[in-house]
Amino acid sequence: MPIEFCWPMERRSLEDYYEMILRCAKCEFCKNVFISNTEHWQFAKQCPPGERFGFAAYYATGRIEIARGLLEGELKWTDKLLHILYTCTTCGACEHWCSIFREVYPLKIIMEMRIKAVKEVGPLPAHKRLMENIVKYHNPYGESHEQRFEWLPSTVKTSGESSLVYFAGCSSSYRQQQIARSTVNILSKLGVKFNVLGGEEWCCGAPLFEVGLVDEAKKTLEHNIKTLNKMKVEKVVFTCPACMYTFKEASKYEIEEPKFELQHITDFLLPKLEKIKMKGLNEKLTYHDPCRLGRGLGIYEQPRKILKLIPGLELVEMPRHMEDSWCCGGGGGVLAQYPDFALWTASQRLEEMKFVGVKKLVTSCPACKTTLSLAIPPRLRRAREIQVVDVMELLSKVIP
Amino acid sequence: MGVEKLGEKDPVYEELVNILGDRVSKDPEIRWTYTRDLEGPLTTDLKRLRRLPDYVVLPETTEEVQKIVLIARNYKVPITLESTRISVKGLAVAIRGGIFIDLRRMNRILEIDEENMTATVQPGVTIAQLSCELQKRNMLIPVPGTPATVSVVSNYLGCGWPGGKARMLSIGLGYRSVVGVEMVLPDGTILNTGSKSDVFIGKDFWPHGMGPDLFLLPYKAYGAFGIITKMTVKCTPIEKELKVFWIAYDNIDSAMEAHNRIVRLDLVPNLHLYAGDKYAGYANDTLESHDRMNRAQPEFQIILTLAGTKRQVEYQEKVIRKIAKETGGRIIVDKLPIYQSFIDSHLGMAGSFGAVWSMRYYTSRGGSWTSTPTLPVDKIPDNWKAFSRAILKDPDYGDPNFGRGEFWRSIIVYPVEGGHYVWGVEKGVDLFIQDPKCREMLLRLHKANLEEQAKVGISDPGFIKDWYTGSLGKPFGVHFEVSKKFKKTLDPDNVMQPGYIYP
Repeated sequence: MPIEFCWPMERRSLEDYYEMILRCAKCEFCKNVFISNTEHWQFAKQCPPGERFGFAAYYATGRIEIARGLLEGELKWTDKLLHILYTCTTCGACEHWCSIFREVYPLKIIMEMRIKAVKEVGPLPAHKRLMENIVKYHNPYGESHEQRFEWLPSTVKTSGESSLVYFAGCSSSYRQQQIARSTVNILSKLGVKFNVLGGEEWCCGAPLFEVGLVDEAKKTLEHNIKTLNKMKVEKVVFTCPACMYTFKEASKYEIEEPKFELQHITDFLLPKLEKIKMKGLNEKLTYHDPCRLGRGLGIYEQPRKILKLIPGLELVEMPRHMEDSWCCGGGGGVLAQYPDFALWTASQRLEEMKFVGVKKLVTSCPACKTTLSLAIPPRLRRAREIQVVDVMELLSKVIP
Repeated sequence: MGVEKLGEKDPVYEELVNILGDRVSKDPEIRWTYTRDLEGPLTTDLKRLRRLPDYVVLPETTEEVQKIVLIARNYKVPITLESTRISVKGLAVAIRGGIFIDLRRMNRILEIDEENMTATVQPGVTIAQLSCELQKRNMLIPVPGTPATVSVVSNYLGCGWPGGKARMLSIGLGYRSVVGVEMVLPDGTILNTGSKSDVFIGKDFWPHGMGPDLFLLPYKAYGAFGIITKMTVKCTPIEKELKVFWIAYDNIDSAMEAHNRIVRLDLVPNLHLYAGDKYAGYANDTLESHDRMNRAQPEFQIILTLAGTKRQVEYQEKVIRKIAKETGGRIIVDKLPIYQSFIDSHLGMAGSFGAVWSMRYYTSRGGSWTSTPTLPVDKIPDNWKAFSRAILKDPDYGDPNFGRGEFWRSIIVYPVEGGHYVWGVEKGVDLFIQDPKCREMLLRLHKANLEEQAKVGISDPGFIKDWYTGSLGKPFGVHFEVSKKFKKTLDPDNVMQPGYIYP
């Protein structure tokens, strides 16, 4: 009888996904924005590697066929296969729609393949460097751990007794320090008492989880959680969506679970900002939804509401926004291993920004800011004709 | 037939690379991903279909397609095609190996001609893409009962499923919207059909060009006669007023009486008759909720699209209300939210229909079709009753612990071409399409259905008994033999899409 046909309730390895793989109908919904949301046919596509490399293998439908090939013993690990697997930016656009339409989770299948790849053939060179850096220096860049909180302005006072902790994350600590600085300045201006982890803040593990290095990732994540649990904090706020997402997913990895609330900074600040009057900003800009913040954590409205609170600011939406957002290209270890492709992806986003006639793009993620900024042609960057900023940077200018 | 390799050299590959550069691959990982499409439950042999192509190519222009075809012809290498890869029939699998042409990079809308109300597209353009651009110009194309991610070209010409949900009664099937195609024939010739074939006109605005008319050469040929590289479709204006109207009935005879009266008045651009649980499979996640909805909703429903000026729509509504009253129908006023996608579909807005619910066909229980005959209108009630008998005596569906066949069956009736005939009666049963037992059950039901239909003079089981176990062309006798001669002339080495229609 048909009702006897069932699938595993809990999937713990690639093998458990075999039935789900066969359920893929090649319906193409994973490759496009939600059909009814199609505004411009040039901006109707959603899978960066598929659009860049063209062959079916580079779309979610192809990748899960490759999973079938591995499970059926028809395919072996090769450089090409690893290229197909690791050019996925893990943006989750495919999974967002497919989980609704067909209850298929392509990203989960891709992540299981990555775990299997790491176990069987080891990580890719750039990902191995990330891992070594995180193990040795507690950040993926190989920067000195002692300098992690050098960005913290001396004028900002942290409170050791506060039950609120700001988890800055590696990108804001080393590469996009203005985001971290702006955040603590805003918290101070709003009179919010907060603390930071200082030397006890390690990489959250997101760069390793994303490439399949789960064992190493679990250790660094668990260190952070144990530290925060020991401090008995009530709430941790994040400017980096990838950090927050990783903490949120901790329960999946059989490690100590967070005993505190997680909140993204835009969600945390919104009610406070609604009560104050901000300075005006006569600018026209667009908002880029970071994949982890939007599709990952479901936070779409809060940053937009914050931007709309700024007097004089005009927010223009790009054709692909919210659930349909196009990835910046930097996720899933792609920027580290395949920078050219990552920047191609980002350049597509900048084209879309140009299409709606704005010169400034705002986002809520240090990694997105990094990748999108790198894709700005040098001439335009020098002339400041195209700018990419974080919501926090913008807010620090308008909060009195 | 096969790939000719000289030692380590692979001349086919080398020539393809010369034309396409990195848009050709013979990597096993790339080729592997072209080995499976949805594989409909009636597909005869799944393993047979899981064959690797030898090369995958991504052409972007007609000239590149032409050169690929000439290489294939020269080396006698089979060609298999796909546009957007949505096939439920195993058609997008290279069952004889060879060159697999993935046309998804030919995805440009080449022209929207607002004067002549036409749009010209490449084969990778989807219904959604074209619809979104047309709607900005207050125009539309028929939206098929498939996901809007399908290719306009392959859907209108390939499968024969009902294109034109919104305007089916007034326009007809999908292929009736085709004004002309540009096609690369198996010998590399570029053929234009439609008025463009007339050198004095040179533009597609009328489907019938020079005689003998080759307008339908590519229709339902699944690429066997050549590769379409451009297609022009006619568009229709979006009316000022659009309204969807529902009438419910308790029995098929009354529903068909109303259906026929409305059709003969040539009153509305479209109507469908739905019977059974047509909607429940789409809209429910659990068997229990599915069953609940089946029991609650009216068994027979006519859904109409009213369109025109405000005054025309008011008149249409007035007449339809009168017919409904006289035939014992009930006007459904408070529509459930889940029906919105169907309403959108009937109004011609691309995508909503295909966006969620049609894909649920294949995931949730619901949406496996047993047969789709084309019938005279007066045979519909007999057809429904024959199908009901077949399903109720089925060991699974007749089992009250499982089947509840009196609920979990459905039909859709599509009147086309002004209601002159009924295009098809899709008969559905609820199954998980992924279930290995699905195929077995469907074949059993299909056979029982044909037997029941034969008793009321609707089908001849002797004629179609083996269509689902043989090749597509097998049951068609003389018609098929004549078409084989065309094929032999155009494609003597059977390079194009071998193994589907022509063995």
